[in-house]
Amino acid sequence: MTARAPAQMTCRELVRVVTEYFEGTISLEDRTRLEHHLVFCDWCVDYLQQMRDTLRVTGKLREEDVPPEVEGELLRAFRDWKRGPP
Amino acid sequence: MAIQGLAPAASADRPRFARSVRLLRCSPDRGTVVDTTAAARPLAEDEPRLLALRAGDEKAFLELVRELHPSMLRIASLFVSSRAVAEEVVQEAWLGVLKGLAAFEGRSSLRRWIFGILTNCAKTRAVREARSVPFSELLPEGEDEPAVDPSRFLPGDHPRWPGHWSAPPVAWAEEKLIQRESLEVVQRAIEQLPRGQREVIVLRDVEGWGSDEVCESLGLTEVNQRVLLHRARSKVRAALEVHFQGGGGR
Repeated sequence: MTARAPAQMTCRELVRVVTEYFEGTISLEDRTRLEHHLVFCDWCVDYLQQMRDTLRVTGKLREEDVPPEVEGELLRAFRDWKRGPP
Repeated sequence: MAIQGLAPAASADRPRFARSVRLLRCSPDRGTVVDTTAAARPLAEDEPRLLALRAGDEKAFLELVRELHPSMLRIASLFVSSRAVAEEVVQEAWLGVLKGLAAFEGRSSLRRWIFGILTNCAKTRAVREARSVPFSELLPEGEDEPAVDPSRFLPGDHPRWPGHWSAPPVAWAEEKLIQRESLEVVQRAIEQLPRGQREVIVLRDVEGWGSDEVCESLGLTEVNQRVLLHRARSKVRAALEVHFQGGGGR
């Protein structure tokens, strides 16, 4: 009995399953096919890196300052709260 | 670091706090969220801060504000129609937090508790704005939106390289990635996404929430959440590609 050789992954398929790969929800077989594909396809290595770069830049959007006037208003509310109900 | 275009413009008509009945709608009790990560996030971690807050320590309060306010504003913006309304919602939420601080039992982390209050305030406001979105609109639409333009691949019946790149991606230079314009491109791309995709990518990739947290908070299945995330990320990548190289491949 011969084991069925899984079809090689194409670049087109790789871009479709990349999020499953990152999320760790990809099947073991597809994960193996994907990693095998990366061995000989520099273009898809670049594609994966672009996805990682995209995640990195997106994460930077988090860095944002609180405007001083908002801080001031919240601080006033905190002081009101500290004083307790009139 | 503030990003231009992201930080709200300082305006004289910024909504002031209004101690009003609205607070009742986002009472802390309804905001309580069961913290599934309680084991991984020992509540002891919150304790010094909680004690400081209850003792009226202004420094501790400002620290908390600086840490959470930008995220709260971004999340509130997902639910309501404008930045101004989102700012009001966040202020309501902070008042709800202060109101509930004494009674907070620490069954969830402080952060989860605060985001629970915020989400309730935002949802209440969305209903009042009649902007409550039918559940189906959050779900992925269409058959299988391709992550990359299909014309950039060789046809499936190509004799030697079926389904392989015909217009492959080009690696991006680090010095371009760290430029401010890259952030602005990503910000604009996210703003243009359909709502479900925008909510998922903001919570997952901007705020750094886990997939289970996002599924719970948006009422999505794990699969739908992943499909939305995949489409969103693919479009943001494509926007950066257009920015860096005018869209073409090699």
